[in-house]
Amino acid sequence: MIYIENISKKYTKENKTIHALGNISLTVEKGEFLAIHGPSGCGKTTLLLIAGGLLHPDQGRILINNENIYDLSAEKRAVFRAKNIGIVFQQYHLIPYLTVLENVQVPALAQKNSVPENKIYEIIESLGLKERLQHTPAELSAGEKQRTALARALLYNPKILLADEITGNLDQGNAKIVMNCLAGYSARGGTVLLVTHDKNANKLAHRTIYIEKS
Amino acid sequence: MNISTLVIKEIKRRKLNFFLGLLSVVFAVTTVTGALTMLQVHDHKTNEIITEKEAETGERMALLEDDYRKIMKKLGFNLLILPKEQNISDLFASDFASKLMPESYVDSLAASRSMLIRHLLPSLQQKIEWPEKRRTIILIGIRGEVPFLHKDPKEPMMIAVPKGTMVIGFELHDKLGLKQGDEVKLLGRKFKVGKCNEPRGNKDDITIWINLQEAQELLNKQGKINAILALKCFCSGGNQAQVREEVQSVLPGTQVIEKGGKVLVRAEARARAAKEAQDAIQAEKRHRNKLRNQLVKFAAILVPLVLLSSALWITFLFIGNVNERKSEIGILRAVGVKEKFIMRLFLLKALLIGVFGAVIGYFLGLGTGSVWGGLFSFSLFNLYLFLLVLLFAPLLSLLAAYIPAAMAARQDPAEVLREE
Repeated sequence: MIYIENISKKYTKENKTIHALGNISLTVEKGEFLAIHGPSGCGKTTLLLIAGGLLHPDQGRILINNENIYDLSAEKRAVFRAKNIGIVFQQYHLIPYLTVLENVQVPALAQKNSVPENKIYEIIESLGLKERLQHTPAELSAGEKQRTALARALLYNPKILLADEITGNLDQGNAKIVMNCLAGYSARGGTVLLVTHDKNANKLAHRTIYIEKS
Repeated sequence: MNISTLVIKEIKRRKLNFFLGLLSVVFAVTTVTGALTMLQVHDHKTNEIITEKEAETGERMALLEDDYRKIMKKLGFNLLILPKEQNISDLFASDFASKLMPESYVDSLAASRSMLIRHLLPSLQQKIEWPEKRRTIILIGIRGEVPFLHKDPKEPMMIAVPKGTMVIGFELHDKLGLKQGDEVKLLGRKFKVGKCNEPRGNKDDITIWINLQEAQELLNKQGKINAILALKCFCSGGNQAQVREEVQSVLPGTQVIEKGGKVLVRAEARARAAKEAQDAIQAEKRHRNKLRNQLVKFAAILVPLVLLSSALWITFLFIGNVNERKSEIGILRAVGVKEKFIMRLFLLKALLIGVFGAVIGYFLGLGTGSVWGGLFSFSLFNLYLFLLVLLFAPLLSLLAAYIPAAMAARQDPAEVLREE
C-alpha cells in the first residue's frame, strides 16, 4: 500500500550539508503495523514527513495506493493528506486556545463532511478523555495531550497513521493506552508507521525496521 | 468547528495582539475623522460668524442711517436763490444762471431777520471765452460772505477774492502752466494768480474766481448778480418750504431751489458704510479661508503619515502573530488544511480589527473633532463618511495583514514540525 523507493533527503544549513536519508526503500502493506527504530538523527522523522506528503524528497518516489503523492500539487496533496493520512507528533501540537473537544475536531477544517457527534465522543471516550472535554491543553497531563492528539489523528479514520515518538514523553500507563490504540487501529485495517525508541512497541508491531545513521 | 471559532478563540487568547492592532486602526480612523470633523466644525463656525456679522452689519446700517438722518437734520441744507424768470433747465444745461437780479437783493436778505439762513454768498457767473488763452472758462465773481446784520458777527465761511487777483481751477492752471504769483491777462485786464486749486473733478476745474465788482465790470453787468447761495439753512421740519416762504417774503422776484440735496449725501454715506461693512465681511471670510487652508495642509501631511504608520504597525503585529503561531499553522497544514484557509484565518482577524477600529475610531474622531472645534451637534454625524470609513479601514487592515498572511500560508509545515 505504501511504496517508498530510493528516497534521499539532505538539509543544508549554514553551508553545511546534512544527509538525513540516503536511498531508503520500503514497502508497507495495508493494515500493517510497522515500528521504525534508529539512533537520533538517523532520519526517522524525515522519513515520516516525506511519507506524509509534508516534505519533498530530493530523490525517489512515494506511492500510496499506487499514486505518487509528490506528483500532486501542494493543494491536491493537502486534500490527499486530509483524506488518507493521520499524523501524531511527540510534541502533540495541540492548538493552545482550543478545548480537547475542539482540538479533536480540527481536521474537520480540512474536510467537506463533518463527523457525527456520537463518533467524536466515542473516540474521545475510547482514549479516556471524557472528563476533559472542555479543558485546554495547558490543563492536561502529557498523556492526556498525546491521547488528544491521537484522537485528532483518528477522527476521520484515515487509511494511514504516522506516529513520531508518541510515547517518548509518556509514563508507562499512558504509553500502554496509546500503543493499544495504535494496535487496535491496525487491527481494524489501518496502516501504522511508528517511529519510536520504545522496544515494547515491537511486541505490538507486525514488523520492525532499523535505520542506520547515514 | 469552523474558521470563525478559530479566529475568535485566538483573539480571546491573544487579547493584547488584537488590542494593539485595534488601537492602530482606531488611531488612524480617529485622525482622519477628527481632521474632517474639525474642517466641518470650521465651516459651520464660519457660516455662523458670517451670518452673525451680516446681521450685525444690517443692524449697524439701520442705526447709521438713523444717525445720518439726525445729523443731516441738524446740519441743515443748501439753497440757491435765483431770479424768478430763470429757467432751471437752462441753469443745469449751461452751468450758470443766465438771468440777472440786483446785487442789492443780498443786502436786503442780510438786513432781514431770517432765523433759518446762516450764510449768504452772492455771485455773478458766466461761461465766456478767455481770448488771451483761447479757452472756454466759467468766470465767477464773488464778494465773500455777506453777514446778517441782526446776528453776532462770526468768522465768515468764505472771504472775497481780493481785487486784481484770481483763483484758478486745476484744469486751467495745469494745462496753461500757471502758478501762484504769475501775472495773467483776462479780457484785457491784468490779474495776479492768487491761488491754484487742487483738482475737483467738476466744472470748478475750468473756473476762474475774481472779485465780484471786477467781474461785473468785465462782463459789463454793474450792480448785477445771478445767484445767491444760502448755506446751512436750518428748519425744524427738515423741509425747504419754510425757508422758501421766508426768502420770498423778502425777495418776491426770486425763486429758491435746493443745491446738493441731503438725500444724495445720505445715500453716498450709506453706500460708503455698506461698502466698508462688506469689506469687513470679505476680510473675515478671507481670514477664515486662510485658517481652513492651514488646517487642510496640516491634515494633508498628518493623515497619510498616520495611515502609513498604522499600516506598518499592523504588518509588524501580524508578522509577530504568524511567528507565534508557527506550530499551529504547521499542524493545520499537516491535517490537510489548504494554504488559502491559512490566509483567510489571518485576513479574517485583520477584517475584524478593521471593522471594530472603524466604528470606534469614527465616533472617537467625531468626539475629538467636536471637542477641539468647540461644537457639539448631531448634524456633524456624516453617514457618507461613516460608510467610507467602514469600507476603507478594513481595507487598510487587510492590505497591511496581507503579506504576513501570505507568509503564514507559504510556511513550510515540515520545517516547523521537524524543528519541534
